[in-house]
Amino acid sequence: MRCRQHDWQDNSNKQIPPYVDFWHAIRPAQSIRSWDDGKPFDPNASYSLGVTGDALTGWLRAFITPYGRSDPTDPPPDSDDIWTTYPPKFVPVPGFAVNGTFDPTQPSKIDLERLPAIEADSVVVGVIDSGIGLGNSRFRDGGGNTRILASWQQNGLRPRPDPDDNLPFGTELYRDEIDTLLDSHSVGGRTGYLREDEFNRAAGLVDFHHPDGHRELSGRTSHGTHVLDTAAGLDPARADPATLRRLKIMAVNLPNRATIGLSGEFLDFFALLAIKRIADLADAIWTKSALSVPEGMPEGFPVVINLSFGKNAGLKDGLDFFNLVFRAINAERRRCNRREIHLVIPVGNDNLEQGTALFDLADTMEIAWQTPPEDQSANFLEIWTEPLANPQQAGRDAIDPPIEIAVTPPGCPRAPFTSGRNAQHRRIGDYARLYSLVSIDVASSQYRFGYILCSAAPVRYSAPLVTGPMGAWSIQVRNVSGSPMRVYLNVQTDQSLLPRAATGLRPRFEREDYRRYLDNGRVRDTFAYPYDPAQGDLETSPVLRRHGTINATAVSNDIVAVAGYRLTDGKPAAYSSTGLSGSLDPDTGRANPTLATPCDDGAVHFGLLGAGAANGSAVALSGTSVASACAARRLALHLLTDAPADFDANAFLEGEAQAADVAPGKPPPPKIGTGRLPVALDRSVSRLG
Amino acid sequence: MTITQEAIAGQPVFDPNTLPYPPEPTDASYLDGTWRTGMLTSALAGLFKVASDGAGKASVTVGRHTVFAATRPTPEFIKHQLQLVRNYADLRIDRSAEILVQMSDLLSFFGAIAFLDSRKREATLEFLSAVQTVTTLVEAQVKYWCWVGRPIELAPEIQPIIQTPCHSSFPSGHATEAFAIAAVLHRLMADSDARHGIENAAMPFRLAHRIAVNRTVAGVHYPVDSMGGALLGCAIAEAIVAAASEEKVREVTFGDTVMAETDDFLLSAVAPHLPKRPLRAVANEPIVESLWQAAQAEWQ
Repeated sequence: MRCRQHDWQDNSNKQIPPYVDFWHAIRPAQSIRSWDDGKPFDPNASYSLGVTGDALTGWLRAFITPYGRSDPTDPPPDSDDIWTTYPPKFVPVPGFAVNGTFDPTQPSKIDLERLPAIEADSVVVGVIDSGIGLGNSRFRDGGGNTRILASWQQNGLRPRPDPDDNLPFGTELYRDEIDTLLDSHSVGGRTGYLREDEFNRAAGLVDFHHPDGHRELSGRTSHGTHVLDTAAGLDPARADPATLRRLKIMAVNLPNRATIGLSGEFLDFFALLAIKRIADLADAIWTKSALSVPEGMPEGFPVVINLSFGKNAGLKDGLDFFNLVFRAINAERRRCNRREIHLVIPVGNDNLEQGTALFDLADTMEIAWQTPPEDQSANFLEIWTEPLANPQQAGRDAIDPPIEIAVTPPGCPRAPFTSGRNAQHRRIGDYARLYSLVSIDVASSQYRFGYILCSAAPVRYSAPLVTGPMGAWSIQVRNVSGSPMRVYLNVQTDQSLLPRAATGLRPRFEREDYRRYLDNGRVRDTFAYPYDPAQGDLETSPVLRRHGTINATAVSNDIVAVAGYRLTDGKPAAYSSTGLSGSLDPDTGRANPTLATPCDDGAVHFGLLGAGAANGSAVALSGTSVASACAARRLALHLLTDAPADFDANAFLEGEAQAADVAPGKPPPPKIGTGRLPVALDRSVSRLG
Repeated sequence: MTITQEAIAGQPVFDPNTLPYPPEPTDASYLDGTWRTGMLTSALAGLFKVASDGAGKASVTVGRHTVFAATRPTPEFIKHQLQLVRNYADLRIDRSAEILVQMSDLLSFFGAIAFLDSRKREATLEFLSAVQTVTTLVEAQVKYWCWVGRPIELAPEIQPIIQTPCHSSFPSGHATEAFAIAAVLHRLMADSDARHGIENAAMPFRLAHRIAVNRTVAGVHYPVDSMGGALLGCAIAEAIVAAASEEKVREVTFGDTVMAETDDFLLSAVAPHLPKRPLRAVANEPIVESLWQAAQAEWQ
């Protein structure tokens, strides 16, 4: 029974993403409930919350319309296609965070009375992360007052009675409320010692009562606090007073990994809500501040948002759900004469994970996909064709599959080739599903055909108890289109429940011609450093590649994608993901990072110093998350000096990096974009002397 | 030695006028540190008496005065605390090193927040060492009368990262000792009582709180154990200071109203249960008073 592969069948709901459909398929006991079913929510339980019919999509659609729009139900132009392209129909939400009065037929609300009024020359840095410490002194001014204008804790303990915000979950705090909490939990006034244990609990940032509560801020290192410090932290005792006054912050604490999914199954949903909420709150504060602009200038504060998350697998052409919606948000803002949101995302740390493969497919090709033992997280693999011609503009359901696939689990007889059509799946045993789907690009009359393989974790000690096999799967793809094509295979990001645990292990591809190390024993990066164009890259396998490992979320021309390098000698971080061999859709998707910023101080000083979880502490964190925050900082500080109406963040940073990086042996664009840009952080001492 | 004595002593004639006189009763400087600390410990231990009604209650008295009274938490209460213990386990990766060292060494951590040098603060170190020893003697009896099972006895999934001790979970020994040390040290550093020190989050109490919480992280205590230990530790410390000086003692009570069953252990929650007004005087103990003054002199 473990090897039995069932016939293809239509998905129960064509518009649910495969990850979400599979998430629910292996949790049969957890039925979808509705916000509005009238039943109480147990704070110790976790729910899959949706709404009847299409109401959640309707609410999400209404949510992305800009604040103050005259008719929020009027669909935005050029974005109809988004709403048939996989918005989730339900999301997991812990019971303690649920808004029991949420009305999905109504938009979210903002109470202007609770918001602060600020000066017109402010720049807002938004950080969407996990474990952002709102009380940290580096997010305050010299008087101990917070610089945080608003913060949404998406997993926060919902206050009772529910505030009238019509947010589906979580809790928000605004500037004055944060200051009040600072007063209540400080010894000797706002500049005195902050009782962080008490403050963090009162602010809904730390929760030891519920299994799904946040706890990072009680540890030593908290990703969100470090990233926010890198992006917008200032020493109140030393920083320029004008910068302290003008550089404002908005923070969204994402839910914990159990809620957003260990492979980011629901990350897009929560991240998009976060982006839109930051934009809406910034607009509302603009209104509250009664500000105006000269003729020809857009309304609103310059806003730079850093989102240090991503996924290794995806379309990587800028046409996925996340990028379509983000593009629509900015399109709406332009239409309503509001400033665009500048979004900064890391390229990812997947360069050496053996998770990206490329088939130049004339006939049939095969690769081994290894799911590791002792792995307690589900595993996913995405397979996509290159863009193929769709001159008749056929709909998704009408497109015949150009590739067939044979998926053989470990220990099973060789599976035959088969193919599905759009929004179909077939079950493999009771532990895996293979989905087939089509992505349409109307603008270019092209389509892409894909398969997504989802397999349950090899080991489970708690729900869901369905387990999948560990070992070598065989993945075969056959071209039945009649013309050679490229097929892209990517192993999806995979994390553990706790940040430093090792229970969520990522599968990898295996090929004999893939080399992890150089002949001298050092780690093999994509290119040698210093780079010699005559040498080309250091890839040894035409199939299993470092090229193309770039974060699927960052692959959009509308987003700043940031790679990382080592400050002392300029060497790109070996783990910093590499761009694609060529853009899959030049109109919407990028091939390479925008630029590279530091993510390590030196060979023996790994990472960059930034705020630790506890106020006053410092920790070193490395990774392109840190590089991304550096780029966000550079952007924000520039916007303090010059924020023209048509500011192009990508063009600006590309130009800065290109001008700054004239060193010989400069790495090529797939690793560093246009160049390496050192960014000065506000630290009182340098680790490098 | 015998051969040498035979060779050099001769046949002395003793002169009674050269007999030594006893030292001043308040001068213990001629003793070595170990003996002096032992003597102080003995004197302090003699201050406290622990009694029980046999039904999960314990009281600690000094002379005729009750300085601490506790009623153990109910099994129903403990059940609600178990989820907190499980959730605190998420911090184990960060705190394992601290937890392991703090199994047997607390004073080193206090030495990092106060200059506890063996020459400069010799009397202080001896006094703190004696306080810690006496605290364990008192807490052992309170634990015996207020027995509460350990988290591992309720749920094997707690899986503590250190050996669970054989004695009662309530009150926490680490919390008791840490808060007792903190209260005495705070007296020396700031000449201020425990309630005031906790209200102002003085460093010794922040450390004591962390030591206590680390035991919950390790999986061997509930938050309520730490609260009970914090109150007991402060009560012991204040009684010792009262015996050493002209201070009066407070009567600290741990009962139903101190914590709700889902409450966490926060430092700010300790102070309200330390009564503001001291109530009664206890008899001074000369040895304790003398060595306390020696310690105080090191902070002036």
